[in-house]
Amino acid sequence: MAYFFLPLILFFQLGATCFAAIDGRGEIAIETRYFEDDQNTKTMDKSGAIFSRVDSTLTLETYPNFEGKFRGFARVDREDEHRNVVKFEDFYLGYLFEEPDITIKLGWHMFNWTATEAFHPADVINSRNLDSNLETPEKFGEMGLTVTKNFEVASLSFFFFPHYEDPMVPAFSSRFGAGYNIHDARWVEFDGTQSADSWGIQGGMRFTTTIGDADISLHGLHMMDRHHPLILLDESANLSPYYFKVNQFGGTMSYVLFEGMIYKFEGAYKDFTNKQVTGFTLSHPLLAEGIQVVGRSKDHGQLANGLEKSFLIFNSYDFTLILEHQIYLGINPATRAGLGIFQNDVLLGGRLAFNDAMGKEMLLLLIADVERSQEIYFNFKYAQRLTDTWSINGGIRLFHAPKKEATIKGMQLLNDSDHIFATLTRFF
Amino acid sequence: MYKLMLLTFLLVASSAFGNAAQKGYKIANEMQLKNDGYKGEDTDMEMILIDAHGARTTRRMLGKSMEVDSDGDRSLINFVKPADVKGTKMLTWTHQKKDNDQWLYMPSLKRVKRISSSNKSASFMGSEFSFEDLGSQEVDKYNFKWIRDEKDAKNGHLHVLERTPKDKGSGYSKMVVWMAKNYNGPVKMEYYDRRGELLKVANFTDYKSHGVDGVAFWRPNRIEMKNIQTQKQSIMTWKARKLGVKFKKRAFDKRSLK
Repeated sequence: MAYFFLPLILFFQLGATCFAAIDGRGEIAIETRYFEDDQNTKTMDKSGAIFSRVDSTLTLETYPNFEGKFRGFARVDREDEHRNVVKFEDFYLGYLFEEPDITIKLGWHMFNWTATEAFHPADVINSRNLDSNLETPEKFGEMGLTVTKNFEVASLSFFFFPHYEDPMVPAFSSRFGAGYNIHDARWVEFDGTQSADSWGIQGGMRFTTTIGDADISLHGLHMMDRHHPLILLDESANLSPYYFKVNQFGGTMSYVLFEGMIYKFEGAYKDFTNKQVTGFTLSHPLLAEGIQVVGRSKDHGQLANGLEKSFLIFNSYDFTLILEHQIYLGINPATRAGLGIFQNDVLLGGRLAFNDAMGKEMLLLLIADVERSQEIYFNFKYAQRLTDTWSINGGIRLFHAPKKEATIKGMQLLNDSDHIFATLTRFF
Repeated sequence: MYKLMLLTFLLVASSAFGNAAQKGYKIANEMQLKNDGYKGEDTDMEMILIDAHGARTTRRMLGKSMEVDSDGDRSLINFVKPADVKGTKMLTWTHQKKDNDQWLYMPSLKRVKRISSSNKSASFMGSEFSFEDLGSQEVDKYNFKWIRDEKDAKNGHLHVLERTPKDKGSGYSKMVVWMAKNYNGPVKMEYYDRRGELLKVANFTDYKSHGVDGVAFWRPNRIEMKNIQTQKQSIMTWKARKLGVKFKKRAFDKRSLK
């Protein structure tokens, strides 16, 4: 905990001594979720947690081009200590050099490169908490340096990240987990060497622009792929997630089509460039078929397309219809089924905003696998403000998924994970 | 003889209508030109929402806008209150003829999202103001018709104009505007829904003069918007307002949202 709060104290101390202004927001919440009983005493069917997030920005009167940013969150779960987490999302110092219009930021960064609502092939830099919200998992800040050159309607950014931030994989006790404990991450470099050393070279660039009614971005990244781990036995016979170095090229687009309909696109190509990796004792779809000891990461593409259209109904309610599809390309259906929960899926969603003082809103999502007919995910959520500082949300998530096999595929991971959830939040 | 009378009547009527349209456009255009040159505006706004039973809730926003040569204004609204939307920002690039560009920044996700500006009649923060009411009112986006002139003890000479949106996506079939010659701005507006029925009435009061380079610009410090059909009401007041502020263009690009 001290590790988390010490920089925060220093941050505010700096502000207090430098004629600074600190602005921000925060929240503290009580979260609960109740799963249907899976008749397994080792897993937690309910959880009750306290969650808190602080987001603050520091500006200095004497140096207006300077910016300090702190944003982080913590969760303590009284039922399942494996869900406890304390992380930075942002914690950086930034400076704008006016004349060349270049911004430099040093520290932890959380990026959001997404264009679509549910599927995010392009938004890959930050590691996720895979035992959090399924639709928008919490992200962990990535430590590094960002340099951005700004143009009139465009920007070009360069990134350098020397540390591999470990994703949070659900523990054996989690209903979102695979039923076993996962040990520390192993990192597989381009030359095939693997280690637990989480320091290395990562970097990339991103170009963003607006052309007419379109927002466009292109990126190239050289980094550890934290989204498709192989869960394998390491040399100590522990199950560990293996993450692979990858070159990723991709982009996003949001484009206003007609009558206010917005087309959204995210795409990425992951190039593992024929890396030979050794020491594995389990097979995985990312490894060449039949090879148990020496494997090869498989290159693949990932495309997500979506449409969004808002309607005014009953003269005051705002209804937004969302249609999205995601597919993994360049690999066969059996292989892509092992790469994640949603690999060839269609989403149909609707968001109804009551446009009232209490901010009442309902969200309905249905995700169905196109190839694997037994896989359907349904989510209903209702949210509203109670007062100016309190709000509440709750809902239900239902999974129609096949039983888990030895090598988990697609939505099997979420088999028997139906649950209801509720969160009471106090904002400050 | 009957046909000649009818033809004469139609000619006179269309001529009168044409004159009314020209006169209406001329007045609106003159007023828009008189409002050009404010450079930039920095504001601190409060909005009180009153439901049909009289219960009140308060919203607060910080806003800034700047003029753009040969196009519509650019504006940035930063939501401050209530606490759950604090940090939400909306960037709008208005255009003289085409639909506006609009982006929303959601602080909880750190996401900048392009949103459609075509749903103009959607409520702004749950209030009786729609996005259309608060956006830049470029003259070329409407057809005008002069109805009459009036005199008011408080506001002086008023032009009463009928304003019809050219955009079929507008939530209104027409608006009737009482434009005050003294302020080069409206003192009252009636909004008619797509069925032609009176929907809302807005009263613009507490006008204050702001000098920019020796020119006086008048702005209302209070707008009361009443929904006639639901009896709900929203009151927008300006706690602070500064005109003539010179913003850099980057204060209104997408990075300004983060």
